[in-house]
Amino acid sequence: MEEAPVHPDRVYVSGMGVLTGLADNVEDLARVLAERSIVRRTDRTQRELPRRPLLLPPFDLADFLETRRPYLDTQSRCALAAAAMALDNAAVEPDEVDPLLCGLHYANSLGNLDTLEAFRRAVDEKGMRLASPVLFSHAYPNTTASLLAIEFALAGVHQNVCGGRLCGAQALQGALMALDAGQADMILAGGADAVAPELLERMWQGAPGNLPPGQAAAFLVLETQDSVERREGYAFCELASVVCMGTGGAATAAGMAEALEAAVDAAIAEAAMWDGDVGLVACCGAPAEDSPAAQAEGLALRRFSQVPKVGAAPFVGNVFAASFPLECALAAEAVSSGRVPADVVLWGEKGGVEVWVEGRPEPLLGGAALVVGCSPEEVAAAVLVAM
Amino acid sequence: MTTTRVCVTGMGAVCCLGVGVDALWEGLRRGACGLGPLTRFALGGVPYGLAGQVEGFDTEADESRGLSRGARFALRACREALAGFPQECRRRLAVVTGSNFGPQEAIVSLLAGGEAPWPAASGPFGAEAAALAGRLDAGGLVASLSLSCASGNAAIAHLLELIRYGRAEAGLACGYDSLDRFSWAGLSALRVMAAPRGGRPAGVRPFDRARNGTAFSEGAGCLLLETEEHARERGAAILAVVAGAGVNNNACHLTHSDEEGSGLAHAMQMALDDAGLEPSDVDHVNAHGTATKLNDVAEARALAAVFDDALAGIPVTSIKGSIGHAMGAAGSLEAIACVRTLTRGIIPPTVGLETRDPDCAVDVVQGAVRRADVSAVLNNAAGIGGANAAVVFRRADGHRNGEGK
Repeated sequence: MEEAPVHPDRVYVSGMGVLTGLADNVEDLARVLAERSIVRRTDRTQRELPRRPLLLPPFDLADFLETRRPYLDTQSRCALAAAAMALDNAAVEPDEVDPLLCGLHYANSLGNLDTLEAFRRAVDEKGMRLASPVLFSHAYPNTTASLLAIEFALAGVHQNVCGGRLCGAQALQGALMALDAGQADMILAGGADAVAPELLERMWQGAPGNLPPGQAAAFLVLETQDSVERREGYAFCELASVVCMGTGGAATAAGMAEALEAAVDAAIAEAAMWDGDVGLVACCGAPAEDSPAAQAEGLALRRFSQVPKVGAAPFVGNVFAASFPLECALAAEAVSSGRVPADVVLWGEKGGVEVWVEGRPEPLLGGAALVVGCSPEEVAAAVLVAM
Repeated sequence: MTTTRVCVTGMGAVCCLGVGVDALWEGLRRGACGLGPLTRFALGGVPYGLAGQVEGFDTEADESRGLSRGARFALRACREALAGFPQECRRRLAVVTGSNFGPQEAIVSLLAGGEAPWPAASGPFGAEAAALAGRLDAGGLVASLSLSCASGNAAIAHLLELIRYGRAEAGLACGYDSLDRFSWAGLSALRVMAAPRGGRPAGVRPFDRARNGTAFSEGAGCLLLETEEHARERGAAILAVVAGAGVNNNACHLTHSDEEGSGLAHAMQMALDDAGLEPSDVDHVNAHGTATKLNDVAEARALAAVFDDALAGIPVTSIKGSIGHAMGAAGSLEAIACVRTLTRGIIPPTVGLETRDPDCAVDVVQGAVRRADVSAVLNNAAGIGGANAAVVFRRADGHRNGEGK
């Protein structure tokens, strides 16, 4: 890690698609977040945190896709809709791009649990001999990734990361590496997690101190500068760096904070920026606010104490693999529009550490946004730069 | 883009031929077959019962308590690969796992009303990979991939990129899977497993005219990869170089084969391009070779598309006749065979092959080992959902071996 990689070509965000319990596009999400940013001071008692899993409103996939499929898992429906939005947002015409140079880097944490449950029930009730090949093939952890590749003719580089809450960051990092290496012109990168409410509820009840889980999908269309220019596309911003690191086995807030600071340092250095360029920090937030990971985020971000911060997690829930791509989409919207999308203060003082400071609904100061995430196992940081 | 050379410096294996790389390699050399009747669970009326089970493995050891059966295989394989790797280097050691089913039995238990055995904020695959890394004292980036039966090769490809990009100096790429009742029921529903026919017992016969399916197996394969600089600094023996990789998707159908093999051909070409090699530079292909009717023909067509006239001089083997289809571990175990082929100059035979299918027009190594000068090897893998992953390995010195030890 002594030297930052050399980026032969810039990578741009040319499309975004998000689907959450609050809104089905990033502009509305930013607006709704701003309207709901009820916390003005570091007073935790004023927050109106959700008390139940945050579910997507019912939607018709036909509003997003022409293809009709007889069966889809909840996660696949959600991912297909958000991906369609992102590619539509990027205004990609099929004849403008070579499918072999279009790829997918996808992340999901939970898997297609609804389908696996249907399959399990069927096997238990009818016996192994009558297992359904349809349910089984849709229960594979990589089914959604395959459906995305099939639906959108993404026949190039392909990755399916099934990790922890920050695996969406790994999908973005992988996409950036592949684009940098010249393996693709365009990559749809992001993540989704969506399982049935009953299961979400049960998982959450097992960890009562945690933020309620939610359902969401978030994608960015990442494209080389050459590709955007060739097809005369629109670039919202540059994705200048994504850095994912392990925490070195750290179990304490200080240890995790050290790892996150290292990731932030690397992300800013690879983006050829400095701290003063950062006009916004978008935070994944920790699922449990009393956790060392939450404190670590606060500790690592002390140097950005005067920079507004946003985070969708308290409003959309813990959306697992969609978390990091969702914050990246919010950051991209901010640097693209030049506005801080929400004046939220999400966390107050914790153990004498000022974890969050008040943001201001003002124009974005600085040309870049930093996105961060922290978990006991891994940390991630990304830098998005205004055009 | 850097030109960092990424080397293989350690390997570990658990499979139905035994525990350890030597057990795998000796079995392959001898043309042994580790397949037999499935006994781990009742077949429940499923007509397919040929499997590759790991026997004689102490999965109840204290250190692996809490891990799934597959992850216990992975832990054992990782420990073997890490032999001699300094403890002080582990703080930044990356771990990339690849698995079809991960902790499936625990997931099914949750669905049946049990408690989630992973942290509420995490997911099953990620939590298992993190637990594995924790037991290995590996403090670097942890990534868990699932690309069906291409997972093992995809893990190698991903770690290659992470190291090249400076995200790690060393890491483990480990593919693993185990057999469980639900995945067996599902795999049988896909009707790709070998069954007795014409008075012959079920068997896995890659590229054979009479092949009628594969046999799924369990195990783990692990490669320790590191930069050449890191390996030399610690005085590690370099077994091979991971020269290039390609991972893609057919993007045509969720379960049907790409009959022309064009997706796999593209993955192979991506790997060759990444390695900076011409097809004629490749001396051997370790095929995916599942022994299903369609897949073997598709792979042969893919090989023809990539290698053209050069294909006639390239020996191809499939080790699935020996160890079955180890799903997420398949690419990893085959990668170990590739590295041994590079270092020993020996290509293991394709067990089960008697009469090559004329539609599979490749030079399949048959009957006994073939000694060969091997400088570059291509390892293929493909999986349900259309994922393909190809990896190119080269000898560390860049020369052909020729010793035929």
